[in-house]
Amino acid sequence: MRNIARWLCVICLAAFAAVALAFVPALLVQPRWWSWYARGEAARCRPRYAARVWVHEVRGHQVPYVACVFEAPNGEVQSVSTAPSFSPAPSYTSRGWSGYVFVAGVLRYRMVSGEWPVPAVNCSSVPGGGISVWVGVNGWQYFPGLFQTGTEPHRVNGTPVYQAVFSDDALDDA
Amino acid sequence: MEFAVKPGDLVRAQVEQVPSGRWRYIVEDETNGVSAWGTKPVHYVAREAEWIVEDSGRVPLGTGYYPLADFTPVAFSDLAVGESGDARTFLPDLSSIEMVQSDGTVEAGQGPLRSRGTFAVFTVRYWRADPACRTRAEPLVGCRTRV
Repeated sequence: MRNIARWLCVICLAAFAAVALAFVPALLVQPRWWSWYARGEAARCRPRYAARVWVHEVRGHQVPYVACVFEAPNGEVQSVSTAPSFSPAPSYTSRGWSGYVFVAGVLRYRMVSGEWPVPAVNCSSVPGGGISVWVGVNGWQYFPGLFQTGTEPHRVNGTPVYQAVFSDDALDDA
Repeated sequence: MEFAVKPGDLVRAQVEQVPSGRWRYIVEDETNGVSAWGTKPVHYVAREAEWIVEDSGRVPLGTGYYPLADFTPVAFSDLAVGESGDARTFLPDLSSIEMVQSDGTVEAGQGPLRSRGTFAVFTVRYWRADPACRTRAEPLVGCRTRV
């Protein structure tokens, strides 16, 4: 009787182990819809570029992002392609600013740039009003770490004087 | 660290992380050949990149914003984000952000992203915020209200 119970226990443990081993790989790989999404986007990437998909949490919603990336043999992302069309990213509103933001997800980057003609501002239309134009990193949903440079008008005796400036949220000065 | 520019001058701006981990800014008036740069002893991780027009007219004590001053369109071009200055790249999946008043009236809004060469361009325009604008839509030249 004791032998029967022992064998039943062994069989139960073996069955449990088999089931666990069958599910572990499924838990380690990406969800299927990600893979499907990546395959669909990969077809739109240039040769030697692979589609990389990641999900970024935006205001409680998981938003998938896709980029065509070229990876070095060591796995480091070297560059990102300019695939012509991706799924439209979400749009937002703000009380303070307007433009475009790129959220990096898992992709590391160390340089952001852009150019523009300095706008003219009609300060007389709104006393105290003014605008700044910036290129920078962080400061939208990710704090601290705001670092930006651009142009903005200052008011001198009611006349706008335009300057190229930089700004950050660090307390120390260079 | 700052220098004067004039409306219409073409300005190029860049922030980058140097090998030491510090962040460096470079801003150049390409029209007049004037530039400035500097570094900050900070070691941020870049999670976001932005190209924006900001309402810098804050009311005293930081309690809110003045209505946005009228400005000529800001045409951003050569948007780039990448690993270094040698590997300038651009990601097309950007989130757009409109500037609105508390009642939903759009003060400034971005146009669509368009490709030019291997980079992207877009324009931020001022939208009139007077009460008459709140009842009609005049894309690009007037004003509109977000619904």
